[in-house]
Amino acid sequence: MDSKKSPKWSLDITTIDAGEMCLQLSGTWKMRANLPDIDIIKKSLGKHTNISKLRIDTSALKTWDTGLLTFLRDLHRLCEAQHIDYNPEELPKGVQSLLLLAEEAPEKYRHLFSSHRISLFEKVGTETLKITAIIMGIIIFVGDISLSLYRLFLGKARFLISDLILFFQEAGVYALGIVTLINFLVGLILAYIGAVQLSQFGAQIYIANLVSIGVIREMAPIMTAIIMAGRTGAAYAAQLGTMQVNEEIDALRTLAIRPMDFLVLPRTLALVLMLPLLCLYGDLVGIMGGGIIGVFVLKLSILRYSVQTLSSISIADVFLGITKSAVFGILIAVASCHRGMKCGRSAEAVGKATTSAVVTSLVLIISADALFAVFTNALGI
Amino acid sequence: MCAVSDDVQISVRKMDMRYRHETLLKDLNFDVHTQDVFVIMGESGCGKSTLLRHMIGLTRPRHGDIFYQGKSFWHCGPEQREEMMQHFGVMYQNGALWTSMTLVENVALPLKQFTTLTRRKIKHAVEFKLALVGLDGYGDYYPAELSGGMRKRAAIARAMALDPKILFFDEPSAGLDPINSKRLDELLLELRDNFGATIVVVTHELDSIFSIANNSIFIEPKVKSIIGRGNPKKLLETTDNPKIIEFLTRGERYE
Repeated sequence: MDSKKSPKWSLDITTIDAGEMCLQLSGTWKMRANLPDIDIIKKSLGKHTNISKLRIDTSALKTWDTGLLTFLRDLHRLCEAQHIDYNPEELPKGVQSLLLLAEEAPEKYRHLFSSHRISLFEKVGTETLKITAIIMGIIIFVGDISLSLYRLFLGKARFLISDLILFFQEAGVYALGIVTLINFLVGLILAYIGAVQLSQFGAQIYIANLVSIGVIREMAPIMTAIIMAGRTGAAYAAQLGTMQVNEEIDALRTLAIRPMDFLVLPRTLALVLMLPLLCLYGDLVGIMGGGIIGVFVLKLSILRYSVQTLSSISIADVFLGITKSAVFGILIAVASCHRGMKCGRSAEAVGKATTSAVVTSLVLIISADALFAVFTNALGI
Repeated sequence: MCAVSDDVQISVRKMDMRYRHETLLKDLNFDVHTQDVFVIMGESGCGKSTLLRHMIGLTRPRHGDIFYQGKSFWHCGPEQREEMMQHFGVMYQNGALWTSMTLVENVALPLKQFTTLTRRKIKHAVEFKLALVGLDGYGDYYPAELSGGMRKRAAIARAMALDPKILFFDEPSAGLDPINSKRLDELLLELRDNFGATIVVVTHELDSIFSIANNSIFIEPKVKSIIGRGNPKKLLETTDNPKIIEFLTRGERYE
């Protein structure tokens, strides 16, 4: 586009006599003007093997920028490597002083961290150690939370009550909208699935059983937990991660305030206490969702549907659902807070912590639910 | 338009600045000439950094305009503004390095985006810029692995990446040790002399102010305006404003 406009540079390489080479730099040497590579010099040095002295003529040089400086830096290194004598004092004053400023830089530390080839065994070893460290980290974290809870019961845990109330609000009231929507739809879907199957036998009324048991035992706890993992768990990981980046957590530590008590404990309490409540609410909404299909689509009478629903619900099912969501609450809180507290110190690390908080929470929720299914079956609940 | 002579690089005209709903500074008028080292002074919280944000295109002024070489900066389309902004180099107060990139990647990003240089040339240019700020050999480090002062210097290297015509520095020497602070001052003067750069610095480091600045404004939040301007050395000699005298002498000159 602007190749016509781009100012011209020129480089003339001449060998004056045996052993001496002259570089004549003229015109405009700007970074964007596609400047020559040091390889040109290297090549012509290769042709004349006996060069021991280099002269640089910059008398016709007009304007220049970093492009010229990097070229000269490369040239300087080349000359050093090939033991060619060259006098930097022939360069313009400004060039000299900027190059000098760059060379003056303090001692390099690179050699301290020199990289070496890593063998397969070493890789396997370090990875294994990393994984064990992560597992140990989780165990220690769970232990820390337990100690925090113990301190809470002794009344020694230090945190702000106002924080706790805020977390209750955030994990409770503010989540009602989405919890309502999802559980309502889940109840509705369950009713439809049941309707297709049960109407073949003329047993539509058992939709009430299907919906209420399905919602209370499985769907409400699971769906509510998944919503809260995506909503609140992710928020916890991001909050704690960002605090880690800003050294806020270190600031707490130096004030002798335990981050575990101050940050993790109120968050965990909020989730553990609010999730069962939300689940109970989800039960109601889900049953209503199913009921609407039963009454308006399948034309069952409200009274029959209600009676059928009430008779199918056992208090044990309700308790099971609530217990499950309390456990899910602990799992989400531990996974999210752990990821947040172990976050690295960059924006990217916060992103990673948030993602892995949600993924870990989901995996834990579903696995725990499977365990519940096995045990409740064995116990006959 | 406003009448500007040839060597005026930046002119601020009748500019009003607000922060949220409060007017911070009113009716600002000043010129920055080409190859000036222009210092914006004033006590903390007086709106220096906010003024800088207006000058680099992050915040739109409430009234008035800024002209770069006579061209309106705020009364033009966003494309033209972006075009002008490509000639700026900005160093933010806390570095604002991209934490997920190494220093080399940080400095290389503008070069990769706005030039067609080969990889090798970019690498060499980046190495040179890092060497200029005394960070040779730290290219593969992430910002989180460096000290505050080093991050600051890396941010300066990034600001210089494209050899911009105008360099804006927000508190460049705060947090630097005296040696690096002096090196930075030298570097600024070299950039000005050799690349023809115009440099706008927000600072309250007195040593820097007196050794590098040739022009300045002094902002006073109480009157919401500029109460002193010109070369800081001369300003100190000629002013009778107790506030400026106190600032420029750290309150150590008793009269």
